[in-house]
Amino acid sequence: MAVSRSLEKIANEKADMDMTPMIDVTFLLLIFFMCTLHFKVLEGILQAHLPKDQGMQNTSAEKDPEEPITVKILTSSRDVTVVWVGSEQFEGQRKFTRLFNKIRSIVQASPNSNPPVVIDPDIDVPFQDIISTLNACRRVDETREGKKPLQVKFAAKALDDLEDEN
Amino acid sequence: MKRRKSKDMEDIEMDMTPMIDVVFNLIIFFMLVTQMVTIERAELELPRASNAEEEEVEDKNQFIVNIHQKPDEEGRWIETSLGKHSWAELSQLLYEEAQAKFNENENISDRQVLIRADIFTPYRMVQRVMIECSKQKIYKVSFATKIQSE
Repeated sequence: MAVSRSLEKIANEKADMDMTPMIDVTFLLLIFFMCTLHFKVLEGILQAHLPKDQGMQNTSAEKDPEEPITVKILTSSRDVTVVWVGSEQFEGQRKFTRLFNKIRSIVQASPNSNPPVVIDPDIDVPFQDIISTLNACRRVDETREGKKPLQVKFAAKALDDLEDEN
Repeated sequence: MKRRKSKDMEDIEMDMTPMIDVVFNLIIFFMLVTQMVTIERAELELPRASNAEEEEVEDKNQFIVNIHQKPDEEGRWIETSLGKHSWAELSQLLYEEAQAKFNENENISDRQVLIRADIFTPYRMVQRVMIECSKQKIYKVSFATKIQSE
C-alpha cells in the first residue's frame, strides 16, 4: 500500500526538468556564432566586358572606328610597375593619376571622343595595377557625363604558353 | 514569519520557455548567416579602386571565381563555392555555368562571372580565367574591389 501510494504521488507530480544546463549550452553556442560571424562587407565592382570577337583566334572581326589607346603595363627588374601609353612612361607613386590625365587628354582630343582603351599587361603584373588602370578609365568616364563609357578591352595575346602551364 | 518567506522564494521561479525560444531562433539565424557568407567568397586582399560601382545586394545570376595570390600545395589557384579547382575543373565548371543560361539567339551566355583576385595575383592567372570565360561564351565579366573610403 505504502509503495503504490508513493508511486501515485510521483506520477501526479509535475514533470519539472532542470533547464539550467541546456540554457548554458545554448548561450555558449549563441556567443560562439556571434563571435565567428563575419558581416558581409559590400564590395565594389568594375565591369570589364570581354570582347566577343576575340578569344583563341587573334583576328578581330570588326575594325575599331577610332585609333585605340593602348596602355601597356610592365614590371621592371626591380618589381616596379611601369605604365606606357605610346612612348610616354608613367612611374612612381602618382602614376595612375598621371595616366588618368593622359587618357583624358587623348579622349578629349580625339574626333568622336570615344576611342577604345586596350589594356595590355605583362603576365607578372600584380592585379592591383590592372584594377588601378581600369579605375583610371572609369574616372575618365566620370569627367564626361552624358557620353558613352569608354570601351575597355584586354589585349588578346598568344596563349600557347599559358595553355602549357598548369 | 518563516512560512511566508518560503512562499516568497517559490514565486521567484520564472517561465523559461519564451527565452529558450528566442535563443534558439537566434542560434539558427547565426548558423545560417555564417555559412552563406563564407562559402562563396574566399578571404582575399581585394584591390582598391575609388571609382568602382557598389555591388548590388544579391545577384543570383553571378558566378564567383576567386583567384588566390599563390597556388596551394597541389598547384590550384582557383576557388569557388564548390571548393578549390584545377584549370581543367574550372573549364568544366564554367561550361556548365554557361550552358545554364545560354542565349541561343545571340550565341552568348547570359551568365555573369565575378572575378575576385588578390592584389598580388599575377595577371596571367586572371587572364587565364578570362580566356576560359570567353571560350565558354561568357562575356560579362567584372572584378571585385574593395570600396575605398576617402
